[in-house]
Amino acid sequence: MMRLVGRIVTMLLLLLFSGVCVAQQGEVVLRLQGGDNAAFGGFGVAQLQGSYSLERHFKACAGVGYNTIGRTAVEARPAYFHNLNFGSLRAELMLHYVRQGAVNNGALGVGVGFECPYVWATIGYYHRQMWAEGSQVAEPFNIYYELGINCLPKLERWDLRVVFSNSRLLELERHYQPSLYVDGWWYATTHIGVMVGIGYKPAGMFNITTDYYQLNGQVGLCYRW
Amino acid sequence: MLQMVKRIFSVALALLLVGCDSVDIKGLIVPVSDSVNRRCEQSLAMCGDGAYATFTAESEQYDIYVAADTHVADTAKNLQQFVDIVRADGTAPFGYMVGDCIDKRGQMELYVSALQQRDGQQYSQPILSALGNHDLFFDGWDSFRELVGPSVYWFEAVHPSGRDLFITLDSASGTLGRVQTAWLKRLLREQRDSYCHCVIFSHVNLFYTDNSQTGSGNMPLEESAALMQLFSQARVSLVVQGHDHYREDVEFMGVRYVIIGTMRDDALSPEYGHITLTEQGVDVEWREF
Repeated sequence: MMRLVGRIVTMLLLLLFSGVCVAQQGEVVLRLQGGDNAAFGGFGVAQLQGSYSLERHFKACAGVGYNTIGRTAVEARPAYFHNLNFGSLRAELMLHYVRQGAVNNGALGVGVGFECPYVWATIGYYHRQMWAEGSQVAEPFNIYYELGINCLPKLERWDLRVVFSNSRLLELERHYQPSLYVDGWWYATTHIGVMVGIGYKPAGMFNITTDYYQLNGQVGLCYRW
Repeated sequence: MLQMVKRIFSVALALLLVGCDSVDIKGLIVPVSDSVNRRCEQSLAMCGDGAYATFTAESEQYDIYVAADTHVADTAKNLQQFVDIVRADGTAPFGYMVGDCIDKRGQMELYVSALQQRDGQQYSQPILSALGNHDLFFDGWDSFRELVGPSVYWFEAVHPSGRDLFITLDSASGTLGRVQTAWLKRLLREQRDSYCHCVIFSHVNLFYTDNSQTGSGNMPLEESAALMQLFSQARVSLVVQGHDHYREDVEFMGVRYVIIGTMRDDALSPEYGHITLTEQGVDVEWREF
């Protein structure tokens, strides 16, 4: 299972980065996060994420990240877009793998989404498999979702996004465990930009006994072509 | 149209502010009681450094009875029946309720009264409790702490061949929080080797193997994975959970995780857990009324 996921992710990453010669648009982001977690205390995260769009119909996002709590995550999401006058509909595949200590998580999902200049939304279903030391547990009933708002869609170099999600790239959670993010982007040149953001993750929200779980800040360096 | 939007907004706002007697809607956004860190600090202050209780079992093999999710609301028939069962078995050193004791505002007195000794009960074992998310609604922690006791504690059962360790966790907020996590790690590091078996009680379950309770949640995945490894390294014998209302039996990394189904009065098949501890291991049997 782990080997299969690894091969698929590798192929998608190769597809993503080898497509530069025919690319319409691509972007690579190096993110660094720091934050406080209720269970682990202070933590840091380094992530490398990339996306590549082809002919307005295909887009693939992929990334790899390491969290100092001992968590390594890899994820890829190829998507097909059907363009409409007011936006586009999207169908995507989601492949996600995390190793934290001895515990492995693999998830395979399918989702649909809608995007227009001001908002985007995604909802999908995924199957999770957890395994460690010869034992495994299936979690077959999971929903992933994301609701985002582009606050400055008309500006070429600036963007400000508010996102409510349990499934940002590399951060896939169970459906009752959403997070709230606010991200700002600024491209100093046509190709190079920076981003800053904050994220808040509560615990127990769907138990209606919410409590603080995690707060983080992030900075990123972006390159697009 | 505008009028309708205003009405919907007003109703939503009113629900958010006051909820109903069963569900404290504002808990979606803000804590409905003290935070888990504060509850843990208060609980540990109530217990001191040592065991919250020490029970004696007559032999190496003994039984304990576990109920879950009684959700007491105006009546407590099944809970009283469970207490009768516990107090008919002289070999059981204690009974246990794994959280969500009540389902409505102001029901904690009824819950506690159902645990009191009644005529016809042959023995008088105590029934210990864990804190559930429903117990926290409407500042419920204050009445739980006053009438039931701490939400984080450990206790032991002494038998002729040694001692067994029992740990109660406060997972009602969907996270153990920093204070409790540190306490749990220290407790397992310092105490585990002195005991034969280690049984952990937690209201919120760690795995999500079925869709029996779509809406309610477990702990975040990162924290769940860390706890699974901690329990495995500490050779925890059994983790007894509730919250899901449906029985589950999972073994992961050498640790057995079980869920005891609900015992609420309107449940179709209320059940309780019958746990047998022997020198060889720990066995669990689900029994319906």
